[in-house]
Amino acid sequence: MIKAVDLKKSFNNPPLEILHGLNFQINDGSFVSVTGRSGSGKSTLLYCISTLDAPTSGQVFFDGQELGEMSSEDLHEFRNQKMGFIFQFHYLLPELNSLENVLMPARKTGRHLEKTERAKELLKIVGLEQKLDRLPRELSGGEQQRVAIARSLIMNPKYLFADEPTGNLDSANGELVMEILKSITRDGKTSVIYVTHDPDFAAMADHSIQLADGRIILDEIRGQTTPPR
Amino acid sequence: MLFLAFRHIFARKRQSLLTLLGVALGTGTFVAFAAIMTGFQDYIIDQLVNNDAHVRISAKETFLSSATFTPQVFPSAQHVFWITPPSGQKESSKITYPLSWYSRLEKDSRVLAFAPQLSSSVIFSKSGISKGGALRGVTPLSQVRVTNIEKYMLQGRFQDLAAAGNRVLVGEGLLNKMGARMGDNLLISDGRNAPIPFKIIGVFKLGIVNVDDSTAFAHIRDVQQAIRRPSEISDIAIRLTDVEDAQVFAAQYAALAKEKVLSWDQANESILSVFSIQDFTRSFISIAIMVVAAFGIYNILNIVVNQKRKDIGILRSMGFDGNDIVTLFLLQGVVLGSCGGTLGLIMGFTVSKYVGTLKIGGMMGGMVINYSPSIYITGFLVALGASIISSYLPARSAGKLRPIDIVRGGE
Ligand SMILES: Nc1ncnc2c1ncn2[C@@H]1O[C@H](COP(=O)(O)OP(=O)(O)O)[C@@H](O)[C@H]1O
Ligand SMILES: [Mg+2]
Repeated sequence: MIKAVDLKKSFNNPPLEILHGLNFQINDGSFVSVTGRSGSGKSTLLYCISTLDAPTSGQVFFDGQELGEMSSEDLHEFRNQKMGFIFQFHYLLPELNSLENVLMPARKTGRHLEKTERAKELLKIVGLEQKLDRLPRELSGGEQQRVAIARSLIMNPKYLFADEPTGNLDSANGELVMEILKSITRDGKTSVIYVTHDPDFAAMADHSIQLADGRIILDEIRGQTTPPR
Repeated sequence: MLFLAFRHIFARKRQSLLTLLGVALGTGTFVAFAAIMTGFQDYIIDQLVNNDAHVRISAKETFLSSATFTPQVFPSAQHVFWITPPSGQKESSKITYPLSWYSRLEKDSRVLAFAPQLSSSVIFSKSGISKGGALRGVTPLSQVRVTNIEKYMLQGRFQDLAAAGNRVLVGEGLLNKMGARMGDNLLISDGRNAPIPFKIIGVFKLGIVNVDDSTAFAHIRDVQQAIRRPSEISDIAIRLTDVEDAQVFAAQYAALAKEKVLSWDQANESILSVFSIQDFTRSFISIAIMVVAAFGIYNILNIVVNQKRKDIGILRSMGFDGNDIVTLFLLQGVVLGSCGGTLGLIMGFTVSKYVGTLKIGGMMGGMVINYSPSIYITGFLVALGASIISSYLPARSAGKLRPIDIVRGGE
């Protein structure tokens, strides 16, 4: 479970508050969409709750553990073991083939050999079992993004963060990617938090968060509605 | 990280190869220069140490001046003014009490052997050709124990001199310049006495042009007779059991005696100072090349770190920390440095091996090359050190990149 309390984020240059004290909670196993206009603070929110950026004030709790109180070492380990990331651009390390890219997070702890079977399995799930030894430049954009998904799942993370994962894909590939992401949450433990502009993809979520100018204007879990605070 | 470092290196083959060659060239030059130059220096030093004496005792030349005479001629006068002040040199420089030297040297346990000599500058002449040079009167049997001259005999044997009878061994250069052959007679004169014929019974070649072009050895008794200085000696050449003792030994005896006592390195100060200038130049050149190679590594890694900002962001998002990133780039420098270094050692070895087969200067059997491991170890360490230093800065800046800046940069 992720819980954000009075989360604020400002930038110095220009000096501006982007997130104005957000409160929300994400349950395990949720498929969470973050929507809003461009510049509304979606990416900023995603990075603040995912340890890549530090909030200016406020707290983020993962299962009761506050991020701000974790040592840098623990934070890196947490990121390696519990989190997966998918970005809109530049998905993969260009020197490595699909399989090696997927195994890269496991290398951090020297477990890439024991994880090889799992990596092949994941690549099969995303439909790339034929392309294990292709370099990223030999793959299409959609295929690259699917490799990135397989990579983000190799450590069996509890939280998956995706910033516009379909932003660069055609609709067929986008749908495929969203289906895969959705299927990850079926185990009831893994949460996927994704930013999207596409209303259809946003509608797939069972928990929608909508931002406008750094404030939550909608926080809706399917079946129940909590008014924005 | 080593895995990814190698992938990075292989992904930019041409750059890596160039960097590698830069380092290799630097290391290779260092090794080849060092091997050839120190080989040459060691050779010369060996010559200096072993073909002359470790320590040489020689008579002081005493010059005459008014101060020499005034107290003796006018012992009680307050002020003495010479219309023509006396000048000149005492007639001959000789060691005054050689026997006392002999007994002292015989008792000194550091002395392996010593040999009295009488040297004189002379004029060699033969059928109209004359040439100035040095005639060294030696006692052949002790001389061969003091120096390695025997090793350098081209014709004849040094011991052949042992039986006196106006016979000489001449340097190869001198032989050629005089247009003489083995068995010919050479007229030798010290300029004050009538020329006396000496028969050439041997030829040597030390490889030191100065010596080979102008020196002849004869039995000391023949020389004493030829220049009319019976039973005089001008030098005592000494070989020590351990050449390292030479300085201390020379200093001790110099303090006691009125003769000049010089160790081999004092006697050859000028050559040794040329060597230290050579060493300086060599280090300077090698360092300059290494600096250029290091700059190559620095530049390339700086560019690569910039190109790889996104990759760094990806790695950070997977949980790799700043140190992992530093390691990634540092390793690339180290790999390039050590591979380039190794290649350089091989290049340096090959070049010096080749130079070793060349016959340059007067050396017998080609250039002498120094193959001592310390050159190779130094060369490798310098290459490695330079590449570590030059890759550390870009690596550190890469390690400092915050993941968020990089990940966001793409949007
Ligand atoms: N590093 C930064 N420095 C200053 N302003 C920033 C920085 N990053 C983002 N912003 C600003 O924060 C606002 C929200 O950005 P972002 O979270 O990327 O929006 P979204 O992802 O919803 O399009 C934008 O106005 C953007 O210009
Ligand atoms: Mg964004």
